[in-house]
Amino acid sequence: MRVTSMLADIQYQMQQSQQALATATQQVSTSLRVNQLSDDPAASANMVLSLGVSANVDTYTSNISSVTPQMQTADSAMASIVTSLNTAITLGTSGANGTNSAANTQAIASQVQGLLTSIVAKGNTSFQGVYLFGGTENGTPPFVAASTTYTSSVGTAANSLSVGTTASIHGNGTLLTPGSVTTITDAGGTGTFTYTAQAGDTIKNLTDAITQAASAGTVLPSTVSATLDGSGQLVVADSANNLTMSSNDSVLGGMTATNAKTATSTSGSLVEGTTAFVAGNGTAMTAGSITTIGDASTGGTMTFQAKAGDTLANLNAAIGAAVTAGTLSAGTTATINAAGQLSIGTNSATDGIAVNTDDAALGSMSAASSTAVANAYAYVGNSTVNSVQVGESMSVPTNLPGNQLLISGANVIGSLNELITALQSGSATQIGAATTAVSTALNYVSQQRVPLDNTISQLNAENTSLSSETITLKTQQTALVGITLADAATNLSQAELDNSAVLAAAAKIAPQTLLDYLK
Amino acid sequence: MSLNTSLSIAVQSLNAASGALQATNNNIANANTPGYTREVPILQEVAPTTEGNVSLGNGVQIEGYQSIRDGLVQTRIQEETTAQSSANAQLSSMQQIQPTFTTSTQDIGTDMSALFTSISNLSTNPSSTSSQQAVLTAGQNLAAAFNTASNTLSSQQAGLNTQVTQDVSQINQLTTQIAALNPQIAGMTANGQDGGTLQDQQNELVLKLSALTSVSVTQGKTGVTLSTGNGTPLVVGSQSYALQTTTGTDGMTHVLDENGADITKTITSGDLGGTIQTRDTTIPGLLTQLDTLANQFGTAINAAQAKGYDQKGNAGQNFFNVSTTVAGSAASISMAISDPTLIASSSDGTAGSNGNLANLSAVQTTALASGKTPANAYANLVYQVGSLTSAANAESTATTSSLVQLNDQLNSVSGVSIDQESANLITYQQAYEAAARVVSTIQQLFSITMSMGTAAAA
Repeated sequence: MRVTSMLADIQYQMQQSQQALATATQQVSTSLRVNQLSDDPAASANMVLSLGVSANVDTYTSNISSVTPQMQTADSAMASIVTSLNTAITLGTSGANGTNSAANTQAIASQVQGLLTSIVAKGNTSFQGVYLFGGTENGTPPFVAASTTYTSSVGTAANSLSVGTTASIHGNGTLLTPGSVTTITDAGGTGTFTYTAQAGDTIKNLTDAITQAASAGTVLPSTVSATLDGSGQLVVADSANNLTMSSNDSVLGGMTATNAKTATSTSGSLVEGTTAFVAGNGTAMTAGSITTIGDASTGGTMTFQAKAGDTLANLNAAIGAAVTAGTLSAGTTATINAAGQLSIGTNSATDGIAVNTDDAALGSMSAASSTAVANAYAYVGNSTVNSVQVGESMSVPTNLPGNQLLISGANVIGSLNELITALQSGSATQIGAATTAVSTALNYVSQQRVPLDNTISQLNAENTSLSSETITLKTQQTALVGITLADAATNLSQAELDNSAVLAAAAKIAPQTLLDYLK
Repeated sequence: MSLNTSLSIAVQSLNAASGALQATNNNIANANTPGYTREVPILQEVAPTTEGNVSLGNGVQIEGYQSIRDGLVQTRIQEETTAQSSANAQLSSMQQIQPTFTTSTQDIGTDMSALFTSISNLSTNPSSTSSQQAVLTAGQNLAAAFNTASNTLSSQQAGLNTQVTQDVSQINQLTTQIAALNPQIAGMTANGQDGGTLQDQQNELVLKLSALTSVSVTQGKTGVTLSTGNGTPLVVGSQSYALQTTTGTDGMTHVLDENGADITKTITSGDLGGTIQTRDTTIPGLLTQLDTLANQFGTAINAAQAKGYDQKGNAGQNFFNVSTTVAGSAASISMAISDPTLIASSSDGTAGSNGNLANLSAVQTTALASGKTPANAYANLVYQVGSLTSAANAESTATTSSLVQLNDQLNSVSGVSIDQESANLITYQQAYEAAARVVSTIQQLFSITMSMGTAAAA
């Protein structure tokens, strides 16, 4: 092949060696083999995934270091409770030996009271503003001294009944007798319309039911209407057809047929003045707010979360349901007192409750003065357990609900209460039995510590495992995109050599032509 | 057989030698002119005369100059140039897009990880304001990363769009110039001559045109006929056909032929083809993947928020503002909440519950509607960008290397070798000297003949 000029080739080769030199220099200065995605697309894609895993490992490590002190604090609180219980057992044993005077047993009783107080204080341990034994309701102390009555600080519940405010007052608020039956037979409809009043139903519920049936148009035709007339009587009329209506509700006083198409209630004062129950407590509650009622006697806790549109009536209904379920003591109700405050209370001097709320409509709930029940504590946290992820497939529970620790199971608080009462009564047998119960409670608490201690050790082990995983990942990442300094430096020297060689060759060859030699 | 005949032969030799020297001179002068093909003097023996049984040569004459061309290599160079320009256009774009998807800092992958890290940290203390704020900040950074990536792709597209118009206008300039040369060259080749320097110029123009778009070249009686790869005529004889541009319904510049037919999709090579390919296929493909990821990720996070309660016990609201259509999701994604208490960490309505954070964290490990987890979807995108760039780079390198070789081949045929021309200088110089020597010898003979039979001759 005829070669004319080598300059073009030389330029190309210089370009190539310059490129290699630039790449080698970049690799040395960054210690990376892959400096842009195009250097190795597959490795770059794998780096994305590997970096994601690294970030997670770092997070787990950080979570462990956040959670461990929390758990250690909880554990030492429980250790302290065990110590107090041990002391209580010792005191109880000495109190049951039959050689004590009444004054002595009273003195011992006071000491046990002191232990109970300190155990409850341990139950209220907080760590960085979070109450460790409150479940997820952990912004305020979970164990509260019980009282028979709690009242809200905000006293506008009654005022909300006045004109212009936002209480929902159901009209025709007269309560119907629960269980009473009202029927309507209409020639223009099929079958018989029957209404059985439930507890809490008012005239409005009845008229609503009639209107609904009428618009459905089957049992009652659409021509039926139910209203209260000017004298406060319930009037049910069909503009087109004949109807007959009867009721055994004394509130209505029975129904009389005014004419073939109209029935009127006998009682005529159903609106204002009489026993109008304002489906009241119509004060709107703040949507999303949580109100908790703990009961010292049952040991139970009721939590009510308000939804949009809920009123105090709904809270009341929830309380009723909790009483039926046995969570709250029988007779617990919520009422509006004379000052317009919401008052929640039991009707027994020995049943204590505690109430906690974050609803601004209620303000704060506090115990009514002089209603405290001695040595009684109610739990206003909840039973929910948070868990935190500390490994790829490892999550640990991070709290122990206080009711599980001190109330359910062997009822630490209850058994200490019994012991105090027994000591105050002075009966050796009672004291002995109570002490045994406290002993059972101590075993229970010790058992509760076990899973917590196990978790703490698991966290330590996981921490170690995460450290080694971090190293593995770093190695993997270096293998993917990195280059050792030794390799990079070698590449660089080689590239420099190559470059020098190309330049030297170019310098030698380029300038020479035949003309240099023709003289 | 006369002295006059010899003289005229010698004079012809002088002419031939000086003509050859001229060719050599021209070659040397144009040794570095791009596209110049070396000229070789065509020296032809003049037809001999016959006198009786004796046949005598009549000297030498220059028939003309021959440019030494290799049409096949030329065509290969054009094709390779087209491929190289296309690869370079794509490479240049991809190299500008690539840095947005680095795997080091502040890219989408890192920001997604950071969001999940902040959510997991929050789970150790759900009511901590600083931890909540960290989640919002992480969300903000991620949204910004999506916005930036989308903007980079869109502005690349806009730049390429401008390039299309510029390329078309350059194409039109070149075709005009090429067509102008055709009649002159056609005239020369009709007489059996080579097109010479004009042909060289035209070839250079065609090469420049090949860099812009693929051309198919046919030599004919009216000169060179050019058309695009799919048959749209560009130059026929002295006529050039201009391409036009117009803005299409997609907002992009479309290329039309002289009759107004849209030929955008048919231009697949050269700088124009590479630009169109990147603008209309590559970038939209990447944008769709990006938008899909942003849309599905944002929607999944919002769905997880909705499953829980915020610090005030209300049902979780949207975390991100996500566009309802997939297109444009990455450009428009933004934070929908700025109040830290609106993070739906709770599963039971209490402020202390972290139960719903597990649902938010689960977005990391759950396949999105596309079938991939967010990290896998992003890794896939990174791979795409990397491999498109790497492929364009490989093509560019390969075509460059190929062109070096092809140019070497062409030069070996058409290139000027200074050494060879220097040697030619000596050859023709000697030939001229020899012919001149013949002339002076003949002159001497004339003098002797003229003075034959005179006293001076004795």
